[in-house]
Parts: sequence; structure tokens; C-alpha cells
Amino acid sequence: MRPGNNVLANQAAIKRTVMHTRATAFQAHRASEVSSCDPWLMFTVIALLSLSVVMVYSATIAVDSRTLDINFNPLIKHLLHIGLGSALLFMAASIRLNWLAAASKALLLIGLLLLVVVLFPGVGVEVNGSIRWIDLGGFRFQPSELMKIIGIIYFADYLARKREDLHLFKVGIINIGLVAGAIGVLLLLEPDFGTAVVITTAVAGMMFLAGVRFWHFLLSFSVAATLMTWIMGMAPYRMARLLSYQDPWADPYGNGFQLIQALIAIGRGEWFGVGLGSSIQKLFYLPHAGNDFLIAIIGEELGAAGIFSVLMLFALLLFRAFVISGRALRLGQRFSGFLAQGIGLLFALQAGVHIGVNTGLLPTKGITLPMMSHGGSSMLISMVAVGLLFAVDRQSRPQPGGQRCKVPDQK
Amino acid sequence: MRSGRRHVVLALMISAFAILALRVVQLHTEENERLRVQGDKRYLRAVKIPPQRGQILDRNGQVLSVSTPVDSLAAEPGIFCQDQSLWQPMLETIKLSKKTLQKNCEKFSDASFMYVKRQMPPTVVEQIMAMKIPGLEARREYKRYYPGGPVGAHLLGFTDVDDNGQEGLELAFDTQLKGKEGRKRVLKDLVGHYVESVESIQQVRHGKDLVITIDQRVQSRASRYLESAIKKHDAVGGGVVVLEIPSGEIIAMVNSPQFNPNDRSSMTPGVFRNSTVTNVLEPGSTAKPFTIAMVLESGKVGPDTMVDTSPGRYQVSGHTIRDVHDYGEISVFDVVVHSSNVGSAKLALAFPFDDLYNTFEDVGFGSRTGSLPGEISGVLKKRTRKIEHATLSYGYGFSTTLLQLARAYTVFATDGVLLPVTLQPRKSNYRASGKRVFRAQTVANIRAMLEQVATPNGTARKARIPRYRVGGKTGTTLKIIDGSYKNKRYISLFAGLAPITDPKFVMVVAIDDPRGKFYYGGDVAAPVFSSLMADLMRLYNVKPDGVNASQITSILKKKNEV
Repeated sequence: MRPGNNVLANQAAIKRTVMHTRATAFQAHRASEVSSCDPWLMFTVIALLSLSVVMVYSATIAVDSRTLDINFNPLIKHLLHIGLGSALLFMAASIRLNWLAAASKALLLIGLLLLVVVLFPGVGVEVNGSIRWIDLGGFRFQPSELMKIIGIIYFADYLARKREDLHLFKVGIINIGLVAGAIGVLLLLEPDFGTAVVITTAVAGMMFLAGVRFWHFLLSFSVAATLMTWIMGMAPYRMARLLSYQDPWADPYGNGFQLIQALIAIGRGEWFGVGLGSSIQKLFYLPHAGNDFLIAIIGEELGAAGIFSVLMLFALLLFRAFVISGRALRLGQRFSGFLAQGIGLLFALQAGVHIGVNTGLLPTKGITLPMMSHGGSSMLISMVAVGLLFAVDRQSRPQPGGQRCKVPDQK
Repeated sequence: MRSGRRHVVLALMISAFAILALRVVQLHTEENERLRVQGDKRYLRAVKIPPQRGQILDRNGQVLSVSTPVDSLAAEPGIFCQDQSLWQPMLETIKLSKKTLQKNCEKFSDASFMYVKRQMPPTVVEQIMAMKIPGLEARREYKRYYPGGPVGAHLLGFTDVDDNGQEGLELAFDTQLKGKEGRKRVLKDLVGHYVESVESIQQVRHGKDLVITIDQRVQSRASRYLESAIKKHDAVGGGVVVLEIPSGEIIAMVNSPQFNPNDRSSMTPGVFRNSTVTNVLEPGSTAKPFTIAMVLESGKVGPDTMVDTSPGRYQVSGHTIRDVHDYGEISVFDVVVHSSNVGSAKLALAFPFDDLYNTFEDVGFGSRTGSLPGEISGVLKKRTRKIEHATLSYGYGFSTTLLQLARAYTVFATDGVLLPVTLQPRKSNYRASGKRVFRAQTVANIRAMLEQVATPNGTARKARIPRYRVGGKTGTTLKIIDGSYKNKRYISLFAGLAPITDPKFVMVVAIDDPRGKFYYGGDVAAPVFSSLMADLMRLYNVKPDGVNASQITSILKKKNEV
């Protein structure tokens, strides 16, 4: 029985069929456990994680040797995050995507609520002037990281649902703009400028890919840009600080300090690096070496070759996400398709921003290198996102018996 | 399906990545120079490698002065002073008060370097470094250690906290001992630890050892005997110089009061002076043998020529020269044995002033030996008044250092040749070539007189030692304090040599201001000579000349029986 035939059947029939389809899909999963995952995606993920373990260990080794407390050993923490993340990856890979689509509005509410809650004094933990963390007894959780994936899920669902009406300005621009704006404002209040930029840009990319009218898109883009400039212009000091990245040498021991250390690290690395473990900048010169400035340490120890490898891995990830998305869209699985595109963009954008910040092309704002940086929330959410990519991949794959394992078309 | 838009997005993303890649390349090429310079500025440091200072060794290779490695704790105030909560265990280990450290922190808040505590045993510093206090680092330094403690401290001198020579031989041979500091470039992390040695800028050249002629065995004995004599006679100080014949090498050179160079807190300024070469005294009667030698050298007078010294007083241009007793008419020989001032004066005045002056000049009075830093020459001036001529003959009116006096006596230890003295070892069996001052016959006569002095009939019977024949001359000179002679304040002297038949050593002993019952050189200084010379004979395996054949057989018999 093909699910598509059930569209015209009555309610009861639909219910029965959906249940049946679930069962079939489930069996199909079991049958194609190995063949059903994209080998290139798998390779990319394993490569990124392996490099991540080595580089986080190397970048945090100085901190490690100073505390000497096993509970704060960054490598062990990192491995725990990857272990926990792997479990989440498998769970996410097995999730029923239509369920996820159905839950998208609830998820958005939870995400927004957490973003509001974190702003309350006493709940959010302030680190380096930003309130981004909620302390969950030993584990600090970052709602903005969660918001990234929730945002992608929500907009994938919205765009899939309103696919036919996207040419309308209200549907295509205003509604999306309001939700994205709300998310952006909450993130800016923390402030988490980097994440706000990554989410809004990823959403813009999704809108564009989903078929929003080009001039609508251009218009909204310029309005957003104007708005941003205006906000920045209201506080000239903020503008000055934001633009300090353009000439870090003007204030080498103040605003420019971190960036200069990152630039020195990358410059020291040259083509093939100073050698694994030989970074000087990680020895307390470059703050957050395992985190917001991981690529600088990769650049120092492994050279341009190391950075290029990372860029290529993320490009491959983006490409595979688009391939997977294309296959899902051809099957009419719009939510899956948009979700895969969004996740691919999210990874590529965040990696790009991270490297852009480290190389002084973008304002110096703390943002992690997804799948690689030492940071629990970032790692866990990245693993969930990859899991969802696998889910889209598996649920849009032709099965060995010629049967398509296919979820009902998502409207 | 809008695959066109997909391609646009992919293309945009790939271009963005390409820009990032180009930027990375740009950082390696265009910006490389600047980044490297800036990076180097932040973590490349030139570090000094202190050279290890050379040892000072005695003639037998015994260590007199050695630099031992110690570690100092240094800090970068900017980092170290911020987190004071980590200090407590460190402060307890190195016994430093928090207040002192805080004061230092304030004082050096703008500096990039300060000492926390200097020169501790490396084990302690290792313990501190294990505490991993940010901004704290260990510096290897060297601290001078003198195994002999106060023994010979004046001669050796000492170094400052940076191991630079400050006094004595440490200062005189500083360049040789010090070596040359090396420099290397290291990578430093932000909390101040050296991470990696990058290149050697300047090879460190460690100091060369200095071997000197001192025999530490003799030196320590000299020190012990001198100190006990000073204590016994309630004196304020003293000195001993021992020379080896015929090399002219200085075997021992000690003086008192002592100081311990290993304990800087015990040092008071002025105590460091090696008074055997930096202080002068009037030789008094110890100069008489030179006067008599001059007289004998003329050929007109023999040892048996008689001189009338009665009534123990002699008027010269209104001044009275006195003897201790009235010796009556005595031989020239006895003028030395009884140390008659009247006899010396009368004999000297029989000759032109220049004869006496030239003799004193020839035996080295008034000129430096050139063997030690800070040495002074003493004063020997031409005089015109008759009384000055007379007093010069028995050792007043000119000044000498103890070392000069010892050197002068080498003319009697050789057969009339003045030996150059030195602290730098000669080849073995070296015979120093010196200037001939007296004929051998004259020296033989003087030696006979000197030996007679050290008999029960002479003034220095306490200088005798068993089985050896020794000779010497006592001196008890009035001290000059603030430019004038002080009544009953003396310097007791003894200058002698042994064995008298073939002298191997010359020794001069001075005791400054003995305030006890005894103050004659024969009572105060001569016993020190006796004890130390007896040790020297034994240590250097010198053939006894004071026993006849039958005594030797009886000694050998005794030995065999045992």
C-alpha cells in the first residue's frame, strides 16, 4: 500500500494507514541499518570529531596542567560531551520527522521561553559580560545553542506548510521576520551576537531556497541591514568596538588583544604548522583556545593545511546536506528537505563565522566551531543536528527491495 | 523545485569559504612578517645563562672556594601579585612574611621582574614550583661556598650575591674565575614559564679554576695557632705568613680578626682587609739582622768585633736610645742575640746612611711584592737626621707589611738572594731567581746569630722545636695609634726560618696589641712559630737537622721495639 493513495480516504482510514506506514518504515530502518546512512556524511562527521578530540586536547592542555583536577580535565569533559552527543545523534537519527514537524511550534515556544528565562537575574549565569548559560547543577546549558536547531526546525516546518503561499509578502516575509526578529532580539539581549547572525542568516538562506520572491527577499534584507546599522549607530562606543576588528593593532592590549593573538597563531602556523602540540598561543596568550579560538590553534599547529581541511570538511557537510535535501524534496518531503538545507547552512555559516572571526574578517564575537569546539551545549546540539540530517537521509532513501521508505508527504 | 537557487546558495557559501582560505594565505604571506615580529615580542625572551664560577684550589687540589647551584624565586609582578590567595603555602615553605612580599609587589608593580626570595636550596624551590603559582619562576644561580669557613677568608675574599668578586683573590682573579655569561632565546608562556629553548645566542663559558700556592693544611693550623695565641694574650689581632724556600711560594697567609665568608650577616665593613698586605707596621728588632748583615758585608767588621753598649743608653742628637738591660761590651754576634738597640745604632752610624738605606731597599722594604690586590708598599724614605739614621737601624722610622718582612727574610733562608714571592704555583723544584743582596758568608754568620736567638740564652727560646734547628728574630714594637707611639701598646713579632742548616720555610708571626702579662715577641709570637713550624716539618717530611747520629739510632731502635 502506498501512503500517497490514502490522501482521499476517510479519517479512520488515514489513521490506520499512518500507523501501518510507521510500522513499515520502522521495519525498513531495521533492514537497512548499515546501508541507509550517507557514507560521505558519516566520513565528515567522524573526521570532524576525531580532529576535534585531538585539537581540543592540544588546545586545552595548558589549562589542564594547571588545574590538575580530574573533574575539570577538558579532554575528559570533551569526550563525555561527544559520548553523550553520540547517543543524542542516534536518537535524533531515529526520530520520526513528521512528528518533529508537528512539534515544531511547541519547540519554538520552549526555545523562546528559555531565552527569556536565561535573561532573569539569578537564573542565567554571566560569563565575560554575557548571560548565556543556565546552570543545571554542574552542567551549564546554553539556550541559544538549542535555539539554533529549534529555529531551523520551526522554519523548515513553516516554509513546508506555507510553501504555496510564500510568494505573498505577508507569509513569505512578515511572519518569518517577526519570529526571526523575536529570536534575534532575545539573543542580542544576552548578548550573543554571533548566534543571532548565524540563525538569521541561515533562516534567510532557507527562505531564499524555499522560494520566497527575490525582490521581497532583497527588500527585507536591506531593511534588516538598515535596522542593524541604526541600532549600532545609537551607541557609538558599541560601533567602535564592533569595528575594532578592522584594525586590532590600534589597541593591541585592549580591544584588539584576542584577535591579535589569534592572528599571530595563524601567522605562526604558515603552511603546515608548527607541529601538533607545539602551539605557543595556547599557553595562556589566547583565551578560550579550545573554544572560540580553536581554529587559530589548528592554524598554528597544523598550518593552513589544517584550516583548509576543516573548511573542506564543512563544505562537504554542506554539500551532502544539500544532496540529502534534494532527494527528500524530490520525494515531496518538504519539511525534511528544508530541514536538511537549514542544518547544512547552519553548520557552514557558523564554521565560516568562527573562521572569519579568527582571521579578523568579522567582528570578534565569541562563537564556537560546530562539532569541534570544547563546549558542551555546542557539541550536543551539533550532534543532534547531524542526527537529524541522518534521519532525513534515511527516511528519503530507496530501500534494497525497490521499496521507498517514505514518510507521508509533509504539508 | 528551484535548483537554480540551490546552486546560488552553494556558490555563495563556497565563495565565502574561498575568501576565508585566501585570508589565511594572506596571513601567512603578506602579514607574516608583522605577525612574527609581534609574536616574538610577546613570548620570545633572551635568557641569561649564568656561568659557573671557577673554583679556587690549594696547592694539593683541595677546594678553597666553590660555587654551588642555588635557585632563586623570581616573579612577574603583573601576574604574580594578582592572585594572592595562592601564596600561603609558598610563604610557609620559604619563611617569608606576606607583608614583605606585598610591599615588593607594590614597589615593582611597573616592573616585569622581581625577586621573591633569592638563593635557596634547589630542592625547596622545586617544591615551590610544583605549586604552579602563575607568574613565578625559578632562576638558577650560583652561591659561593668556602669549605674552610673563616680560614684564609681574608686572602680568598668573597663574591657578591651575583657571584662577582668583591675582595681578595675573588676580586683579583675575577675575570678568570667568572667566565662569560651565555645567552639563549626561549619561548615563554604568558604565566612566565620557559617552554622551549629556541637558539643559543652566546655560548656560556664557565669560569676557570684558580690554583694557588696556599697549603690549606698549613693555613688551617696557622689560623688555629694564631687564634689561640690572640686569645691567650688578650690581643686584638694578628697575622701569619709562611713562605716556601726556594720557590718563594706563599704557603700560608692568615690574619685576625676573622670573618666567615659563608655567613654574610656576620660581616662588618673593614674586617675583610687582608692585613698581612694592607696594613703596615714598624719591624722593630726584626730588622736588626739586616743592619748587622750590612755591617758584616762591609768586611770591616766581623761577628766577633766588640761593641760597647754600656750603660744601656746612647745619646744621639739629644735623643736617648735605650736597651732593656746594660749588656756592656758585647760582640756584633751578641748585638743580634740580645737585640741591643744601642749596639745596632752605634754600628749603623759607623757607616754612611745610604749603606743602611740601600740594604733595606735591597731586601724589599718599601716596594710591593706584587702578588696580591690591595697590597701597599710601606714607607722607606731617605732621612737626613742622625737620630733617624740610628732608629732606622733597629727597625723604626719605616714601615713594612708582614708579607714584605717575610720576603726580606728569604735572603737569610737562601744564601743571600731575595726571592720574589708569589701565590701562583711554580713548577715543582722551581728555584726562584732573585737578586743577590748578601754574600753567602754573611748569611751564614747571620743564620748562626738567628739560631742563637732561638736557644735558651736568646730572646726566643719558645721558638724552638724538637729535632730541628731553627732561627729567627723577635721584635716588640711600640704601636702607633693616631700618629704617635703609645706607651705599653705593642706589636709582638717573630720572624724565623727552619731548618737552619737548609731552610725550607720562612715564617713571620705578628700579634697585635697583646694586653696580657706577656708582650715580648719571644713570649707571644715565637710559640706560634714553634707550633706551626713543627707541623710544617712533619707535613713536608723535612729531614731533621737537630739530631746527631746516636739520637737517630736510638729513635729508630724505639720504633723497632714498638
